Amino acid sequence: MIQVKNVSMNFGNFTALDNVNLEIPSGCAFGFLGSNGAGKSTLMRQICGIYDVPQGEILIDGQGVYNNPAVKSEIFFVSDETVQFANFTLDQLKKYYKNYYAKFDEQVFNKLTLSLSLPTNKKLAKFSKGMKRQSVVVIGLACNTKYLILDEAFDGLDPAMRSIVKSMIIDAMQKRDLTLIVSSHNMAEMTELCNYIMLIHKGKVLFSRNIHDSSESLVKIQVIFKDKVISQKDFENLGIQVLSFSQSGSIVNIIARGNSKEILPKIQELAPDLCEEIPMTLDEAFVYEMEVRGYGKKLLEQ
Amino acid sequence: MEKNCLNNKDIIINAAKSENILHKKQRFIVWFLSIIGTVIGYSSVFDDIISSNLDQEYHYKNNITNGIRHLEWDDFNMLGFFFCFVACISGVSLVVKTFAELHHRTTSDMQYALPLSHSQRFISKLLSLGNCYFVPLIVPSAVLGIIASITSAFCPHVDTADVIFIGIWAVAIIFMLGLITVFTVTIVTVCCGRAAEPSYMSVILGACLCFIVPDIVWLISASNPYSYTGVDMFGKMSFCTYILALWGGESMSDLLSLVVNLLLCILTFAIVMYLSYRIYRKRDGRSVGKPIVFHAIFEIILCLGVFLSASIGLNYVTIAISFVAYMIIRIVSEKENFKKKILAWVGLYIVYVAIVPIFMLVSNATNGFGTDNKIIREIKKADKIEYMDIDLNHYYYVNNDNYKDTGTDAESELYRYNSDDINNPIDYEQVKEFLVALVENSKQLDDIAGSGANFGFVNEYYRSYSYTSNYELGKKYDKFYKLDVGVDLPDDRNFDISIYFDDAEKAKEFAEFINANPFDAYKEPNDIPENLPRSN
Repeated sequence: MIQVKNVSMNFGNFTALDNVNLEIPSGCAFGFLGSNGAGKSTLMRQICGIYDVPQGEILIDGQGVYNNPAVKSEIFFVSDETVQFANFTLDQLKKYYKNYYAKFDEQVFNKLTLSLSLPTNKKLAKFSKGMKRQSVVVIGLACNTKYLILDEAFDGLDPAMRSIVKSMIIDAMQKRDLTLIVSSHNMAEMTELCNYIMLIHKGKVLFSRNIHDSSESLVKIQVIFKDKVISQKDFENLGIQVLSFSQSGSIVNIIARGNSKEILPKIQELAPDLCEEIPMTLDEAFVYEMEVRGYGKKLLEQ
Repeated sequence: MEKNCLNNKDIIINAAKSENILHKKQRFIVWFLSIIGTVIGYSSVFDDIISSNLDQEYHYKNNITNGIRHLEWDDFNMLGFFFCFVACISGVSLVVKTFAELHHRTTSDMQYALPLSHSQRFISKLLSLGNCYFVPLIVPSAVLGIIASITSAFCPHVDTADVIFIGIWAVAIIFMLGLITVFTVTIVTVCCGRAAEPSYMSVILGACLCFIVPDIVWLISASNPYSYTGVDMFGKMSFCTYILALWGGESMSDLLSLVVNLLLCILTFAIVMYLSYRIYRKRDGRSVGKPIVFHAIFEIILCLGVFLSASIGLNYVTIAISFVAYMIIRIVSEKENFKKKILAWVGLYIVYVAIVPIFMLVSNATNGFGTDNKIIREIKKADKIEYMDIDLNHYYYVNNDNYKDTGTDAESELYRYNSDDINNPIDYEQVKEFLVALVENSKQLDDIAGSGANFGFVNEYYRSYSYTSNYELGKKYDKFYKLDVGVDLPDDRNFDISIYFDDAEKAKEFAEFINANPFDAYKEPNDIPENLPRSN
């Protein structure tokens, strides 16, 4: 299990992480969601021991990670770039990492490179972007670590490549107790791959929960008032925290914080002609959460 | 947590093996340059070994004693040494690349995420440098040195000990150059977060290491009448190696000074690398991309650079050049808001330049930081020995196997180790009297030369020097008077004779001997009369 306790970090005057608290259970797939510059990569780098933890602490299975080779031997980090591997062939990359990771599984490496038809004697510089990404993930899986951390590893890949990389990871998770931490901007992908999710913005964790857990989430509700004019304030007067309000004729759509079991009865006090919850995608949740904090459309309006 | 089954030593060795994979190209370059350099360097040694018994005249002109040709360190071809030097300098890029995680974002992600502690990572990198840099640098010269030594053992005209010394000399010099390159670039690299800074800052630091010691010595001597210590700032080798200048070793042509310099170099390497490690362990991925991470070292290097440039020539041109270079470095290494700091930088520049005159004033006030007293004390211990050294430096060139004479420049130096006279005014008249007497006797050379010889002046304004004899590692102090003598000869032989000054008759005899038979005496060195002591 990874425990992030009261972690804060600044780059000069810029606050990258602001009192972050997080628990990542073993064996799960944990998604880091957030806007650009939100602090996802910084947190990941701290979890991998790339950055020191100046404030707070990060414990992996009860031990600090920074400058701790024993803990780090259970972590493999795939950054969002592959340029550092450009001059390696896959064979060299295998040799390189095999010297560091005692549990390096050559069988996994051979099997995956064979099944993905990756040339092992060709420099990665000559690979396509997808092949580079596949190669690094192959190495990551062959290192046989307990934690695999992917920083925007799927971004920029075409759907077919994404699918291949994802299935490699899912396969590994099923076979062994692999904990996956992945950051991405692609909500659909996160929904598909992760069972836990965290949303971070300006260094602060907005929420962290099981993806199927609806408590403390947002709800999208459609309400119809045929003979009434309703405003956002009417909902707020009922104690509903409205994040978004839109009206088109008699149809009102609201995004509210909380769970539908509490909110729907409250709306009934306004005697709507129709009131129902509309399923909301993670994508929408992300957008609305961010909009509330002045990111997205509101940024343009400013 | 399941423990990594490797122990610390295995982890470091494995990490070094992995690191080696990254430097294959650089290793090849070092091998290539080093082999080329060593082959060229030893070509002249082999030539000396093979051809030493072929040409009698060649023997004659190369100081053969008892039929043995004595080789020296400078028989190692300097062009070859230049290639070896370039191989050493190629280590700059290798070291910068070895510590790429300090200035390259993605490499930092890759390397800091690896299961290594700071010390394991640092030591593995040093091991990798040993494999990719020092091995290819040293092995060719060591192997060829062994081959040359074995070859010379079968050649009766060459002293094998000389060849072995050349081998040791070449390996030691190249090794020292490698050490200096590595520690110079490492200390700079660990203080910088971008790749550009180590490139130019290591050049500045290298130049400072090269010249700062002789520069300080020069400043002391320039501000003090007695403290000249004989350090040759631009010594014979200093164009291609900073070692000689670095520790004031004008010559490492003897084994003792070579060993001393090597030990000093290794000690400095150890200290600087330890300091580098202390800085390295404080760094993580956060400092990547920052131009300067540890400003104290940056300031020290800049201060040294300005101090050096100002002390070499405190005039408008050098000040202007160094100021422009200083400001460019400041601006480049500052990411933003540099306009606000320009005044502070100019102020600092003035402070750094002002160190030079302040240093000289303090040196003057303290008798060269006490070196004068030390020298006088040492001289007082010396026995009263005086001798005159006459060098007739014979220059010639080879054209179609004929030696063409280009004239001779004679120079005479009078050395005195005299504890009684050191604090007394120099008796120039006495010196002049003796020298003129000698020169008068030598004037008969005019007839032989067929042209006017220009002898016999003692410049009273010529300073009385004391200097540290490098061969004695600073234990011997000489005081000498110098007489410059010029003479042209149509044909002559090299000779280098020293006679003891306290034996005036001997000096006179020497002069008469030269006048009587100037060339015949030197056809064979053994023919020099026993009563004329030969210099070394």
